[in-house]
Amino acid sequence: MTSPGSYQAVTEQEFLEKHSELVYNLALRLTGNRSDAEDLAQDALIRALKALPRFRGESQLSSWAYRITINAWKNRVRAEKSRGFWKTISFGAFGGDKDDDEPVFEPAGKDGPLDATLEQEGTAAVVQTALLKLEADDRAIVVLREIEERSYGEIGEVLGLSEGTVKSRLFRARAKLKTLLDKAMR
Amino acid sequence: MNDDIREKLSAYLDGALSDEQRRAVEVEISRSEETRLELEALRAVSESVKGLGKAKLPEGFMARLQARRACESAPPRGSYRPLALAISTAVIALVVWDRTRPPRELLKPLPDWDGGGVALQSTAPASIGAAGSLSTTDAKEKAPEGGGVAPMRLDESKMSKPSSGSVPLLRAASEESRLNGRRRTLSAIRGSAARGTAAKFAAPAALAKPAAPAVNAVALKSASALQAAWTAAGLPGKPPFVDFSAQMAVFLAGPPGAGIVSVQDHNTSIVVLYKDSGFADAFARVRAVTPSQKPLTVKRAD
Repeated sequence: MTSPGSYQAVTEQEFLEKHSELVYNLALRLTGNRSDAEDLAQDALIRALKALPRFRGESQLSSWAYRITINAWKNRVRAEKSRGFWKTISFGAFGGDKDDDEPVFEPAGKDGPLDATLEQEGTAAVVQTALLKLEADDRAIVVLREIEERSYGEIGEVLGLSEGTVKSRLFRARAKLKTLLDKAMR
Repeated sequence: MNDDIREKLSAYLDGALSDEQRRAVEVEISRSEETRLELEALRAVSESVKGLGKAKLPEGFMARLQARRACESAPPRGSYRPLALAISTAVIALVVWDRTRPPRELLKPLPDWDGGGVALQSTAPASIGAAGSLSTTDAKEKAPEGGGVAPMRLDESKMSKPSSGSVPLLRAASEESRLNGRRRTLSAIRGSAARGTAAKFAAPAALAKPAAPAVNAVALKSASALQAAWTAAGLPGKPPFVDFSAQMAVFLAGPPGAGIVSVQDHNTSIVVLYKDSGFADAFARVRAVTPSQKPLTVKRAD
């Protein structure tokens, strides 16, 4: 974490150059398709740029950008849920099975699962689809840890959780992913 | 294997255990095949997610971001205000027209007229018929013996009491709500009857002619706002093209045939001169002018 007193403000241009791709990648794994990812990433970046003059280095700029992205995404998920526009995600990669005891829903995506075109039967599509079945916070934890390679402390900072909570939820999320992937590969 | 050990295996993968915990886990792994397999399974899950990799920004992402940002930083009310103004103008015009139009029931001859009361002689039954329901033919059919036109009667239960000896023969509108809106008209009729013997009844101006609808003008700064105002005014098709990158549109809301004569840029306002009739082309309602923040002043052209 940067000491607030030593924080050197960045310009909008610097912020965009350094964090746009990072925000887009997080959005891509959270939403599971490029169209929604771009929309979410732009939304998050615009919010970040508006708030940038008030940022005083209370956390790492990347953590701050992650937090804005995840909050924007959670707002969307909540809004979609409240409007009732939820659809069961396609479970084609899982042989059409669903966990009846734990139905997982996602907002309808515009483009279908990521990589569905090129790697319909490939591992990436299966993994991405399994990822989309995780709960919102768990999905964010897995993405921040596995893809963005953030420490437990940074993940806790982004999501407002303790390191212990991050550790246990990451374990549970991995265990669930393991079950889903076993099922899909069977 | 319990969840505590499995959770430690997950943290072990991430290098998130203390030295002591890490050594304990390594002992457990070397001792238990099940633990080792569990660790490998968790590692495989972790690697499969890592394998999704990172993507590059889509082509044109930054340009689209800047465009969206510019769009969102525009005043949020800008695009709705002209539409709201057009709609409110239309609503006001409708209310004014409704409250001043002639009440048809007021002039309807009584089918059960019994010949009593004071007859009113209309000097312009045909003009009343245009707005109400009384025609010359009707009048003759209902005329009492001895000539004259059909008498009408006011429903006194729904009106303030008239002067004695001058009972008007008009029947009032049946619904109380409609009657309220026409009180001025009724007062005029009653006053006319009270002043004299009510030998003559000329239709008040309010009865013969509805008030002219309100005319208003709005400055619009986007094609979508112009289209919205155009549609809200009930105009068919599309409005004329305006190059909003360099101009704004002045749109006139008013009665059919209304149009803009000229738009003049004065010191404190943009003056819109209009005529409320004579324009066959609806495009006359729109003028493209230099963008300005000045308020609009609407004036009827002489």
